[in-house]
Amino acid sequence: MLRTGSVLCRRAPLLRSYATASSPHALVFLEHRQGVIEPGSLSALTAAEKLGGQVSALVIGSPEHVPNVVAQAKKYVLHFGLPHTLF
Amino acid sequence: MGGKRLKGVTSVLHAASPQYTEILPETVSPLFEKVLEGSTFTHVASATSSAGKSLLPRVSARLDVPTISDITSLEHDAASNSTTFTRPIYAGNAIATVKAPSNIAIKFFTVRGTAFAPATSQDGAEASDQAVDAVEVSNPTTEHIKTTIAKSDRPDLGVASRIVSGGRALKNAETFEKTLYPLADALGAAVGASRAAVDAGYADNSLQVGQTGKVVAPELYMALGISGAIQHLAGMKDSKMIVAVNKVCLVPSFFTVSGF
Repeated sequence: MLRTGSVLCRRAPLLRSYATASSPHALVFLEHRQGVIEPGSLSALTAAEKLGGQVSALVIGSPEHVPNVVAQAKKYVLHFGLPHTLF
Repeated sequence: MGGKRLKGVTSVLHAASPQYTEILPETVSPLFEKVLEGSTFTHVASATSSAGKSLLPRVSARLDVPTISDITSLEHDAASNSTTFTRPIYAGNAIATVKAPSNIAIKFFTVRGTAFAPATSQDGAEASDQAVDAVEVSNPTTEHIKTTIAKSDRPDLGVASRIVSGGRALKNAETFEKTLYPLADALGAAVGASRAAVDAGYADNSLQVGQTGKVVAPELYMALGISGAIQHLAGMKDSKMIVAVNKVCLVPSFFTVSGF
């Protein structure tokens, strides 16, 4: 009895911190010029990441460029929580 | 359980179509509407680029929400589901703090590139990807005819760490070229120009720095023969070091100059 009680006590705060109902989810329009990602869009990714939630990128383009841009975009996995210095 | 940090890009959505070869807001906005409809997205962001500036307001207006443009910082309060942005107004002379409250279901904003470090890629990192069907627009109201890009071997203005800019004081296109280009090449710098120089035909439109041109923030900004009108300062005052070469003293740019 006692043991179950203590486990419940420990779980309650954990559950609360994992409630993600209001967690932001940003969609970033990732621009590219002839298959090369625009630097301005990479800054937009950094800004979106600062919201503190998930970030999805949206790549739009011709069939010949999109696969290449998607392959590049998938590598832009940012470290959440690391302080970003400006510039 | 716990310990594992959330990563930046969690997924990459992509839509390919011959119609999307050139990004026209009229043809691309239906796709955005489809992606956002019934989704869990709380924010939509883009660079403050020509495409972003025409696309995001169009989509947000269709959803009856505002777009906050050219933001320089942001803070999201998860508890109240509101986001507070700052953005320069009056050509950068004042900073507006704008709060998008929780009743704005999807918050649209465009990001000033010089205010945020670009994201860096990592080898071995892989976000998931998901294809989205293109939304074909049968009768597009606009049509892309051609793109004219001024070709240059010099670094791009937007990303250059050094910029040499010239103004109207350089008299004509030949002097502009003779004065600026050798210096820019020696420094490995990009070439910029004030609006006066562009209007007078000394330099191409794409080189214009300022309120109505590009906003830059290089390590070194050299202004030759530029008086430093407030409209020009709006485009370069975040530079680390500003060097002004000018005959006239007490011109506005000297107030921000770090060496001359």
